[in-house]
Amino acid sequence: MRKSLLLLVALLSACVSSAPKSSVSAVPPPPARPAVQEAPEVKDPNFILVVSEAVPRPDDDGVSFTKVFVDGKEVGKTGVGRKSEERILKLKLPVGNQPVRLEHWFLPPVGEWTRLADPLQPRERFVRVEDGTVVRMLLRFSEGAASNSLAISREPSAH
Amino acid sequence: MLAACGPTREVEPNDSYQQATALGAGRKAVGAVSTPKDRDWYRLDLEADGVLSAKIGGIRDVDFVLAIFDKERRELKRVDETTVGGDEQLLDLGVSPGVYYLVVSNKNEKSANAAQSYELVTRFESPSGKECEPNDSALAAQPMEAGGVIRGHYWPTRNLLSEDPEAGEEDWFSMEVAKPGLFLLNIDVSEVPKVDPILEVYDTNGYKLKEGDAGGVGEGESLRNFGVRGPGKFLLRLRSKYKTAGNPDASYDLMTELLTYQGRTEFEPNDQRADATPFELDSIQGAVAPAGDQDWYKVSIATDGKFLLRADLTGVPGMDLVLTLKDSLGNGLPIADNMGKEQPEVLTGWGLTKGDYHLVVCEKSGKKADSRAPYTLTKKLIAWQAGLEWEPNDSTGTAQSLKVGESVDGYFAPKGDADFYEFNVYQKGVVDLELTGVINVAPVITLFDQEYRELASSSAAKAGEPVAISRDLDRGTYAVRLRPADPAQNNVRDKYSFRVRVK
Repeated sequence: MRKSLLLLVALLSACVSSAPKSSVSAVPPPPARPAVQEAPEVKDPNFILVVSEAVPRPDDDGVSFTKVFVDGKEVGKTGVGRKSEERILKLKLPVGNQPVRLEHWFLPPVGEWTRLADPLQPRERFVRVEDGTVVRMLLRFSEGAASNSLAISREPSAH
Repeated sequence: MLAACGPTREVEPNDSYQQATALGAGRKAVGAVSTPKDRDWYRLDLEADGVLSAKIGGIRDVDFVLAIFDKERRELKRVDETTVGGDEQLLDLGVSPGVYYLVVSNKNEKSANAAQSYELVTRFESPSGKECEPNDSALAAQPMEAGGVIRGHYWPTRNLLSEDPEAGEEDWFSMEVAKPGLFLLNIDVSEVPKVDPILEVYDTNGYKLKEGDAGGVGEGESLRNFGVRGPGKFLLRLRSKYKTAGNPDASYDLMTELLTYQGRTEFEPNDQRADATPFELDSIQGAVAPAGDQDWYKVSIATDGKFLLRADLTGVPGMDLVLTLKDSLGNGLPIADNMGKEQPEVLTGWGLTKGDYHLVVCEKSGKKADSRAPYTLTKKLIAWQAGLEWEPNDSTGTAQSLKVGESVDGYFAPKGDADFYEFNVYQKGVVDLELTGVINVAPVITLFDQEYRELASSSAAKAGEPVAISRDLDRGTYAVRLRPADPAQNNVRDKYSFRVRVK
């Protein structure tokens, strides 16, 4: 039964690949509305990013996520969630004074995932990561992500 | 023949309407108070619309009350302003063809002066441009045309026919705007000796929309730029502030002017966020009146992007104006109150994005008003670009990002302004922070590390001089605070230039 199913899938894919291509390119389907996703849990995090957004109207409460770059390399991203909900990302970053850049993405009512324009992105800044402490970075967007504020606090590690 | 030329003598008994003595409109009657309870009825047969007035001269021992009734014997107006020996005047009674009765009576039960005659003088005039009593309530409001003039009196001082024994005299007028569209209504009430007027505007639901009470006793009153949406109807109420104050000898002129709204002036009432006047042109005029008036203007940004708003407010004689920027919900952003009385206010370069904002103009003390002295509010919205300060940057949380090697131009304004910038040093080196001088400001630069611990601070020797810091810095993020040494120092005209360089 399983073998025959696999055979059917293989035959179908062969049909698709060998079918003559239409001169008119097919309209891509609209992007699927992503479900709210949780960022993967990290053991003993030393960096916690909390992102929140003030949404002016219920209609503006779309979905968004935030990527984290350290020294230019992406090290993680928050889960996709409603703008009005707090999104939290826990990371284990190397100890030291690290340049952290946040990159905010959102899904407009029509179209694909869009990176927030550069002038509206949070500013890059160094964050000192130390043993025994957890750095908490609070990013808050307001005025429909048109402005943001960044605050950093430090608390003793639970471990 | 002779009798026709002289006064009409009362024909006793004339104690009831059936026995009333006929009196021609505009004629004089002569009579006597034969007993304390004597009532003299005079019948007027009017053939045209008009305004009727009557005056009875006081005589010894008699406390006159003068009243007028319609043909159904409904009392229209009653005057009793004086005591024994005093005159009584009934003014501005609007009449139409038909029968009316003037009734003379006495309140002094001990009067005994049957021998002395009184004189009752009537006057009949065209109703054009005249107040027509009774117009003492919203229901009885006298229709008036926008753009016309009405002449009337604050008289009598009391409304004796009201259920409220304390009710003062008031004159109501209704105005209908038939044409659709937006209009501005200007209303002026001339001055009348002894009277402090109050002018109010109501909608047809009885909600008070505006009150003008800027003038004092013997002064006029004005409402300017009152916004009217046509077609529509509203009511004006004019009264004396003090119930015992009136003037039968001097009339008021109530003048109105209806103009098509062109967006160049405020659209009163604009006293709250919900009624804000759309501010779409580059400048707009308004006036602070009555005392405590707040004028809200809505600035809308429809396009995405970052913009800087500059707003200039002219000075007004005798007033210290304050300009405030508020967000779409009416929450306060900055306040421009840099200058004093009669001086302009400037809001320099506040960062805005797509959305609605409000500029609010008010007078600082809340006690001054002058509808004849308008202010001009000017706005300029420019696209923000790198190298320009982005307010708000008053705290470390909203510090403006700056790259080493770049410079930024900004203002030390409004009063108490502090500007935070943040930059990253990716390689250890000597960093120079340089700030140009600005007239009237002695600036202070303070450098903080990324934990916001102060590393260095430097002040200009005196106002207008530059200031700089040079410091060996490790890799990391640094914040800089720029502010005047004295929070009262500010400069809305000249920008500073701040540069971060690495050697």
